[in-house]
Amino acid sequence: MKVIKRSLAFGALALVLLIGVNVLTMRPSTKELWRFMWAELGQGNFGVGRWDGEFNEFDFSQLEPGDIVLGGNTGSSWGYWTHAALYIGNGQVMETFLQPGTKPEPVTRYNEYYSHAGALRVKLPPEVKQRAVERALALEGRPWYLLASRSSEELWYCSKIVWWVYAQEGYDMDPDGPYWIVPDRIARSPLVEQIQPHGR
Amino acid sequence: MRLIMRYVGLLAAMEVVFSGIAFLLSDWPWLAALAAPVFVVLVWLTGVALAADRGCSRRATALTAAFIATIWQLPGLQGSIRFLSDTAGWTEYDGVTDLQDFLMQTWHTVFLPVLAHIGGRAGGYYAAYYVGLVLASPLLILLFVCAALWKMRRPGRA
Repeated sequence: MKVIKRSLAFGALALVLLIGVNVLTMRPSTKELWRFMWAELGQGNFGVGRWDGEFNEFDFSQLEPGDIVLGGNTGSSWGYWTHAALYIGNGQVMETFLQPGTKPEPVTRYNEYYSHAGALRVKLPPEVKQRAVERALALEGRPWYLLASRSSEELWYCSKIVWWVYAQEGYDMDPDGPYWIVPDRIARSPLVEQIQPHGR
Repeated sequence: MRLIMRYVGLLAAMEVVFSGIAFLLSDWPWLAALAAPVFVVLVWLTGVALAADRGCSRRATALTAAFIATIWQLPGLQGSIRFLSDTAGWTEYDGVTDLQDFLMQTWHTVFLPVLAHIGGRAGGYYAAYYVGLVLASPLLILLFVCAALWKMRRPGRA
């Protein structure tokens, strides 16, 4: 029992030290995001928000491989957009959720499960976008983890995939951003422009 | 009851501490992956220590160990039960399933750096790491009970 208690005490000490280092090196934008999420929580907004049960009619027919697809519901903790994915062509996006991990899914999901949807065109040459798509495809099966750090190449969440595939090409869509890459910050990046749907 | 709560508290503290370490070391994946085997060894040693502390029959020790481990693993076990229930069709996947899965995953953060290396899918949909998360709580309960019985003699044997 002595060994167990000593190991636990040693582990707790290591944890406190690691927390201390992380708090001391926290980016100002991470503190801002925490304040934002805390304020949203105070207004009853939590997590990915609430789907109102209505389909949205965003037209995804103009998408090209390498575009970014966005979805959102009202009442989210972290902004207007709550989910992001990379369009890989043939009506499919590369995205990640907890149960299936990283997996290609039909883009029509974004009409069915989100109150509002949108798309962004990345203002980069087609060959860069093609390489970004190939990088995304190579992540198939990788785990979803909401608390994944930017630099971890093992754990992923939706907007981190979108950010990472372009960051690897030397184009950072959120250079001074917080610990979490939130879809709203990607939507505000100067590297992207909104795709207007047909008839709108 | 005090003995049970002491062991539940100790095991829960271990899981929280080693999950926290694995999370904060996630930028150094191989270092983070070390947290899982250390944690498993400590769980085993705690099970062995329970048998020495309890000092009663094999059956009573097994029941006590199973009870302790089940309470300790409730945050993970609820996700495993929900998965079984959804799969069997007794409940339907919904927003609550997401929250339950998230709690299960956060509870088992200690295993994520290891599970991240397992590729493939189960049933065409579930990622292999998710299946690992679903199995983690039942396997930890089994490990703890086996550790508690490890050094106990079987009745009728010399």
